[in-house]
Amino acid sequence: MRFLIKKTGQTDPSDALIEIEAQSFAIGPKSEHLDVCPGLDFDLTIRRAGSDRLKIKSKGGGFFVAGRAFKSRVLDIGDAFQVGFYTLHITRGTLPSDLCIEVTQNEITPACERSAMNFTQAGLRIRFWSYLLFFLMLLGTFLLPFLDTLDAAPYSGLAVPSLVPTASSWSAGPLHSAHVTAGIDNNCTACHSEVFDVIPDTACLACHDQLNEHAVITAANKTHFAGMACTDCHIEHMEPSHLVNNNPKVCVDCHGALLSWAPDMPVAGRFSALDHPEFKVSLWQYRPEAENNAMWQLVKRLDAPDQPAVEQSNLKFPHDTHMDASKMQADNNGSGLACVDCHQIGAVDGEVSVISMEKNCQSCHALTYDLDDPERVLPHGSERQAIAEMESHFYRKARELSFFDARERLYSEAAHQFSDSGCVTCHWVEENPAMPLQERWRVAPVRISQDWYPAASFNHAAHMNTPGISSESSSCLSCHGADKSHDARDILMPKKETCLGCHNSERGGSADACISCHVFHPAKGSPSLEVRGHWLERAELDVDVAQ
Amino acid sequence: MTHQSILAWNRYHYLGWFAGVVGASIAIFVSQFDSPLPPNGGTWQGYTLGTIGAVLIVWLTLLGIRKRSYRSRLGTVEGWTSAHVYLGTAVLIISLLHCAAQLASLNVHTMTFWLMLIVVCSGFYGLYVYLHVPESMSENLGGKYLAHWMSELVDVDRKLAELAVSAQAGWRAEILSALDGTSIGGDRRTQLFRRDHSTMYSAEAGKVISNRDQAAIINTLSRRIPQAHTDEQQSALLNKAFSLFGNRQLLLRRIRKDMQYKAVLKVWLYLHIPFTVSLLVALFVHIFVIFFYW
Repeated sequence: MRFLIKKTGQTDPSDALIEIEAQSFAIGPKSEHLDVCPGLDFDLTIRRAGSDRLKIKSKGGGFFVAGRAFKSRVLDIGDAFQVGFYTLHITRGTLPSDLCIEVTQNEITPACERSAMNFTQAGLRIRFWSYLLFFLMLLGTFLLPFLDTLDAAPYSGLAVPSLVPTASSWSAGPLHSAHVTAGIDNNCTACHSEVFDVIPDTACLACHDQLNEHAVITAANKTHFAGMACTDCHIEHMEPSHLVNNNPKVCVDCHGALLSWAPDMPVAGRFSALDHPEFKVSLWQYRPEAENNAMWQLVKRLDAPDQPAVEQSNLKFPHDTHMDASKMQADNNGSGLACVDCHQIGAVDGEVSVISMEKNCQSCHALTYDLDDPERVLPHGSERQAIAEMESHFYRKARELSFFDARERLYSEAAHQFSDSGCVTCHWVEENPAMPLQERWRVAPVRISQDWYPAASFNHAAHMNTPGISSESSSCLSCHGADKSHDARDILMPKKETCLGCHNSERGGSADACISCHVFHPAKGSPSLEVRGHWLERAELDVDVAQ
Repeated sequence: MTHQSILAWNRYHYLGWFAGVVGASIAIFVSQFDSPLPPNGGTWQGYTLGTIGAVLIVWLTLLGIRKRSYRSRLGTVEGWTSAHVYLGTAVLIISLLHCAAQLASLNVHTMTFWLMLIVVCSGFYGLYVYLHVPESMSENLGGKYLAHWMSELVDVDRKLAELAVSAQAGWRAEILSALDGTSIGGDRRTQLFRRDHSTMYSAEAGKVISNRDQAAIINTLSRRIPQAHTDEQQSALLNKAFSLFGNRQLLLRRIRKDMQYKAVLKVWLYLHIPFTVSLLVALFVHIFVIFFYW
């Protein structure tokens, strides 16, 4: 059994042929192996597997037959295999029993031909990535959200991972916190009730059904409000949120010039000394000559230094006396009355409580009339009832005390109460001696203004120096000069200049927007649900406008 | 004929277009300041700017068609490319004005902007490399074509293979394995970062080792030269092989550098083109959704 190893390209002929008498031999870098393939860094065992066959087995590497890699393979005479950069051909030797292996060094392929050097042809091409992104985008941004709008998404009703695109990915931006509520925030059609159409007012009014229009809509002025849509001012999905439009231009667009159809409406710009009109106080004007239901008339007028406005509540009340600690103390602790002792301020809405005799006055000004019976008081609010009370009480007393002259006491006490120290302390009282006792005195009716500036909203609590309600009067007195007022007819309301100290658009002061004070949708106005129902009939309205 | 930058094409013709389009867009945007509503994509100004931006984006993608239309007489490709650069930059500004920079949330609308930003920024990178890399490429190739240096490398390799026939078995294997184990290109990262995965068989170590930058074979030969001083023929062959591998090292550096430059000139297109396609989809969806939920 003999192997003949022929090596081509040898300079020394003695190296060109190796004879091996064995059943097998190994080629490799180890010293005990044949080094016929220099550069090979693993072992290759060649074993006879028949008369014309060889079994090639590698350890640590591989060899190639017809381009395919093998670790072990039986080859016949005439076959060839490649290992490293050598090709080994199996041929028959000079003797029939010989097997010859011819080792040939491969041609070296130039390095630049072996490797890819074209960037766009190495790996997946641009076109592949383009198609991939096209289909992914179409699926993720269009098909899945669209199916979601139809409630036909394959994952509808299932708990899907948040990464799966839904119709919410079509939202143009975050909703205002007021709209982040059940039924709206994840339901586009709550507002977008008609696809490919703008949001109708009815979509807003479905929830905001108590809203009033900006003004009382009449046949005369309706054309000037026609066509105004909720979305003209209220835009959703804005960053930052702009649902409540506090831009003064919203108001100045109409109120910046005299409105021919509303000539009484003052011209107003932004809140500044020049652009905003002077404040007008709303006062109840007493007209004793008028009928009962027209006795009080609300008038708005300027409170100018040359023409000071006068309160006509028909009440006598010296604020300065009540706030002077030397004359009046709340709890005999040395301090005078504070504003909030009478004018309670709501902690949230900042509204000032209504003053009443029962709640605020009678604890000091009790209407007692009989020193022998100090618990007994006159009813407040009716002259007749007051006299009836005294009459009843004194005649009952006369039945018990034989010396007591009820009639004399009734007349003297009534005169005392109405003319000297009782009613007359706070009220204006008119006496007509010609009339019988029950009709002799007439107390002028009282009506205190509850809101001198009804067109503006003002949160007292938010304007106090300290959080909540301050017990100190200083923050109240900084706007209302009550401690200097001795006459209830004084108007103690601050003027525009007081507000401009902090809120001035020329200086960029805080809260200088129109809606900081003025409400767009007032408590009194035409109900939007009713008015806008008519506006939807645009065709009819257009005819009106044309006419 | 002197080389002219695409930016300066036709005396900065499209720079004027850029200024005009951007100036008009800013004027349209500023006109919203008189409105009671804040600037946004839903005003008439917003719709106008959006329409201009959308038309420009679609037109910009047509460069891919125009540059393949060799028979087209609709302007020159160079002019189209110049316009592509300037008006592509204008789209970035117009888009910002269109949406009044309301980009804080992530949705299909803002995604359209971010995709456009990726496309424009990758385009900026492409412009930068197209303006600067060709000069470096030319410098690297010494004013010759790459084929010239490839041919030189094949010639050196042939000489080394011929020389190996007469070499002693030990270092002949090293030379042949160094020739066979030299790799130039490969996958994209290899091309882009000029990675060298070349190997050689080391007779001393008895295994295949790294031959990065041909350093191992040059070191091996330099150690073998003094050892072969008694054999004049082998010594001469070793010196010749040493010289040829030194030459080969320089050639390979030059070829790899050129390969890297070509990769740099192409790599941005892997962002620019696929993201342009996705931008077109997002743009369609953006417009559809705006009117779907008007």
